[in-house]
Amino acid sequence: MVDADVEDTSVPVRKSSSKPAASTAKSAAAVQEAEDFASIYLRKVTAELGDDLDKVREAKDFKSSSLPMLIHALKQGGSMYSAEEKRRVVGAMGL
Amino acid sequence: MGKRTVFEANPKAAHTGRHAKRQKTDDSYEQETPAGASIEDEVTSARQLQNALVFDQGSASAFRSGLSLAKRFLDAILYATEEDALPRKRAILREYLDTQKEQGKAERDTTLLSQFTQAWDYAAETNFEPLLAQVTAVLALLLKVFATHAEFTPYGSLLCKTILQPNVARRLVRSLSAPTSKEQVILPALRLLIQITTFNEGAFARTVYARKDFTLEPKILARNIATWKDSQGQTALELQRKPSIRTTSVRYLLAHLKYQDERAKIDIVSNKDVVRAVLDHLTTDPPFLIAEIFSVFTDHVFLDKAIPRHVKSRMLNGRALTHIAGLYRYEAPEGSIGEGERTPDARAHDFLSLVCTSPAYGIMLPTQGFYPHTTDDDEGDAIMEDAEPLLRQDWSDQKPGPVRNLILADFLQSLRPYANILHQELVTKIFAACPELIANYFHQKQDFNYDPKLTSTWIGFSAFLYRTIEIDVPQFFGASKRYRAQPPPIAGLLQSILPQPLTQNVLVKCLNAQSDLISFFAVRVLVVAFYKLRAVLKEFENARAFVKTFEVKQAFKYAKLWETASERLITNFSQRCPPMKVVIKAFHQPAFQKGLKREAVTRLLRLYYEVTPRAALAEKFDVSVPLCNALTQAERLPESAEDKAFCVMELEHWIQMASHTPSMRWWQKNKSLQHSPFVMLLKLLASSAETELYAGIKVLLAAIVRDNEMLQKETSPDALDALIASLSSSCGTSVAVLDFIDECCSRFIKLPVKYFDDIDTLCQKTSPPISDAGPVSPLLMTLVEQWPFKGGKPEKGNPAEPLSQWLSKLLYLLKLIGEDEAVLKLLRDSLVETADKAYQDVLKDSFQWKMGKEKAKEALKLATGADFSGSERSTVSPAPVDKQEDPIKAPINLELPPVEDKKHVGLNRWRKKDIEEAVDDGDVGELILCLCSQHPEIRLQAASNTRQLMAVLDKDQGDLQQLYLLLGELLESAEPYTATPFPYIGGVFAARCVPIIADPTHFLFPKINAFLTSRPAWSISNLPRKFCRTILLAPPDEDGFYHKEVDWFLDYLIDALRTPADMEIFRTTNMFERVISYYSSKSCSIGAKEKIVRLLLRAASVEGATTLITRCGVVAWVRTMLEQRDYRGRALKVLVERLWAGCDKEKVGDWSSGSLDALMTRVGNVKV
Repeated sequence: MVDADVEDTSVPVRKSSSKPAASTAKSAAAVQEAEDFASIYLRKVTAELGDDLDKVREAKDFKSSSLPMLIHALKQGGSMYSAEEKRRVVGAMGL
Repeated sequence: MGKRTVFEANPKAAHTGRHAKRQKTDDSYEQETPAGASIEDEVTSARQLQNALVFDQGSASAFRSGLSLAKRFLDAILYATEEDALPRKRAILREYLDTQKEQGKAERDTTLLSQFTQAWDYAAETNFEPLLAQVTAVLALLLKVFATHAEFTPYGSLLCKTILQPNVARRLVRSLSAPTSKEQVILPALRLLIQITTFNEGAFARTVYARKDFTLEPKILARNIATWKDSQGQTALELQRKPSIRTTSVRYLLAHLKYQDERAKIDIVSNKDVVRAVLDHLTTDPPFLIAEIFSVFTDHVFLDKAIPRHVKSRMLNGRALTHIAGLYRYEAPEGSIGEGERTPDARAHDFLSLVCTSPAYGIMLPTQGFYPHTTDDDEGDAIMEDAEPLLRQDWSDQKPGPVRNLILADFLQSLRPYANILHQELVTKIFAACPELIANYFHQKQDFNYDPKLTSTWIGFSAFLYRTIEIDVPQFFGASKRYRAQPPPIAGLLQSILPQPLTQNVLVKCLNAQSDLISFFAVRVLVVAFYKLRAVLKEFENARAFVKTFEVKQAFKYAKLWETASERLITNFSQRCPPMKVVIKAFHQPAFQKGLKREAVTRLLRLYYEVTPRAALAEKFDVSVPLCNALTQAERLPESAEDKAFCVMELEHWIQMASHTPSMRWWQKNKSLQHSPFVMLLKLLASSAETELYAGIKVLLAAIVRDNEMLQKETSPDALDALIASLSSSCGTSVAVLDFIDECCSRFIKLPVKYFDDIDTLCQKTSPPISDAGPVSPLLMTLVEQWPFKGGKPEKGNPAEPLSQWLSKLLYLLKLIGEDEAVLKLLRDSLVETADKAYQDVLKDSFQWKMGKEKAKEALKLATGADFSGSERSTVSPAPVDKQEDPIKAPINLELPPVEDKKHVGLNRWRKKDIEEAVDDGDVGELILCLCSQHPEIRLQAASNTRQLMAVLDKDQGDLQQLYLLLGELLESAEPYTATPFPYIGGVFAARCVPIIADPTHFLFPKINAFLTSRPAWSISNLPRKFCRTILLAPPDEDGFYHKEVDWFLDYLIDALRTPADMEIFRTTNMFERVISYYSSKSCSIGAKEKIVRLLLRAASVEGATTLITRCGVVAWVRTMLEQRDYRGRALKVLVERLWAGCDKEKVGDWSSGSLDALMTRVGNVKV
């Protein structure tokens, strides 16, 4: 009985100390994964649209300040993929 | 006017020979040393200071030299190079200060440094500006030194008090209001005031404010703040070292905002001139000042909840926002921003993102999301008792109301979200906070067009639209506490899903564009638009479920509103987005043949099927060909791992689409494919090592198998797992085996019943017959049937060897997962029997643990995580996991007929309400049911009351004339039933028709109406048969409503079967035979099956047991259903028990020649 009491009181303490750490680690891993996916996506999309991107650079309205928007626009499409799909792509890369 | 300063004469000299960190101020009077004044370089004692700082009107220049000495001394303390000398210097200063205290009459009248104040007075009176500036500067410096060490705090406090005496402080206003060209006079005064205000954590800020006429005169402050200088050409260091009047004045203002209480702060920021002066010239400020302004404004004004909203609102207007937004173009001088520091444009962005997105900060007005603005916030959220006006609303015509946030709407127009990422972020944040602005924004920006052009503006615009669509749907569509009774206007919602520039025409052009980039971007925009539509529809569904719970009589009408709106939204969306055939055309373009583009366009096609299935199915797109291509492609491993991942995603999209297509032929071989799609998928799963990558495909395959019942799913792992494992690459799979599976599957699908029967026949063959077989996969029967054609006769080279090996392996695995061992043995025996000699041994050893079976078992273990330890080589298979073993089984409802209400309140309840209300609440229905009462007097009264109701309707001449007709026909039909009660079959029918004819949008309205107008009275006994014909056996009036109609009909049957008299009508019209045969038909839904079982249970409760057993053969039927593992097994067993208990045993015994007992026992023994 005494043992059980001791056990009972110790459980919440352990839980509370370990839980936040675990969840932070998990979310950090998810962020890392999303970043990895974003870079894979950007690389692939840039490679696939290479010719057209060259043409855009020659367009009249293209300035050096347009570059960040161009990269942003290319990257943006990554949001079409679910977290699960991103994980699979990153997993397949063995990152 | 003072003399030309040293600084002006020789600017370079000002920066040479001094300590690098020393703040070089521009109060150059300090440098000006009157001729002849002796300068001692270093202060070594307090006495020295005391002597040097004696003011005498006659020798002001000596005092000024003293001031210079003091300044150098103080500088030495502030910017000490030798830490060791510091305590000594501080001690000297303290000693000096002690000598400068002057006791007044009272303790609180003590003053400090009276020499300074005298000099100050003198300088002010004689207009001796250099002296004035110098005294002020040294005082400011002194306070700065006092702030560095706690031991000086009492002196600092005393000095602040001294300066803030009205007769001293009044001198400050003169310096502050000096012409703006006299920086040298204004700046020291400002510095002194900043020091006093911030001294000791703002201990004197209040007093400074109390003397605001001298210290903080708004006009003077505004003038000084507005005195901006073009900082162009100045280096970052210069800007830091030589702050301008504006910089110092702004800092002074910020010091007040930081240290004053709310009342004073409100007073200060309420002055429009001051705030405007700060914000109007932000773009001329150095980065550090911009950072300070935003930091203090944010933390001490906008985030300060004690400052009321209207004060904040006055600070920010359209002009202010434009000036702040001007910082987006700010180019900071080189080196002015330290590493890791945020740039001014980022800071302005943070600030704008904060203040523009919440009503708390004044600029944004609270809105109600997608709902038009109402004056009273709660008005829209209240549940309206009367839904009629809402029901009549035409949603497509509803335009979003006038915009409430006009300032923000104008501000948005000035931003360039297509060219600047931060602008884009800000605009979308504001859109998210005020959805009303989305439609307005694009409406105003008529010149925006999305016509395809390969330019950076088009790309930026595309990115902007993508981001706008991605904005989350606001909670409750913007209503404050919960979903409202009525949905928001569809037009506004649609704008947030497909903003105005995205017209069908333009999107089609983009999809057909020559440029890969343009068509790809258009596909991506459409994908997010579909995602958004899906999210909105989900919210609609939640809202519909929620409003149903409203405790008002019209809750169901509200739910209907949401449902209609949801359909309308889908229709409008389909009209705006390109037709699917355009996407299909794009899909065939060379640009979309590989990589991300291919995946994206397939994803889009899949979304057409998932989100707007009606439109997608109307397209009649043959999914099977691309599915086969995707399968072939997935088989050929692409070069890179990531390409493979995207290929598998594409395949998943096709499978999903195929599963949405009813005409998909999973089992048919295609020219381009070696096998049928099903077997190709099997092969793909079996041969892939990366199970995770194919997890989605496995789920889809399981769904296909489930629908066809070819493999049992009762064991865990199930037969599909075993089949995949038997084909795993580690065991080697030959084409012959896959061909064989293909052939067997297609045969099975053509005639599944035959193979179910074959199992039964097989079980009967043994002696004693296997009566209670465990799980078996019916497909095995097809394998057994087809095997002799492959391995039945001797052939050279034994070509069927791999097949026999595989069959042996499959049987082994099926036994392992827990399929019925006895049946499996019988199957093996059949296989051996029909096999050629060459294969007999292999098949005989099916259950032996050898010949590669270990590998297959490992594959199964790996794929499913199942543990077969202990079962190796054993003849006893592990107990299958009985999934039906649900610990809490809900009791089966016996469907006893409802008891007649003794009080018969239904007779008169309808009188207390409006007719419409009585119809909605079912009171008219209750009155009608009173016609079926077992008491003659109630029936009479009911008939009389019904006539009265008809009279009311006749007088009313409203929309309910159909009800009048219904009641008339009802009374006419009830006429013959005088001695006996009117059958419930008629009464319940009439009662259930009442709400239908009151609602012309009801799916059954046309059928019921046609029936009512066909003849003046009904043949009651024909009613069930009639509607069986028009509902069960006829197409629905509206597409997609067949099952709803059937549900209505079956509910009616259950409700109508209440007495033995009703049962008799059912018997004579063969209703049970009809519904039981419907049960077995392919068009019978699960819901309908459940209702049929309920109907049979009801029949058993109204003395129908004997009829059911003898006329309909229900017991034998139940046995068949149980053996087919019908999902409703438990209810069926209860039914049989009820029938047995309620039947006329003698009659039944005669009918069955005594065989029913045995049948009952067999049924009872079947495990469910």
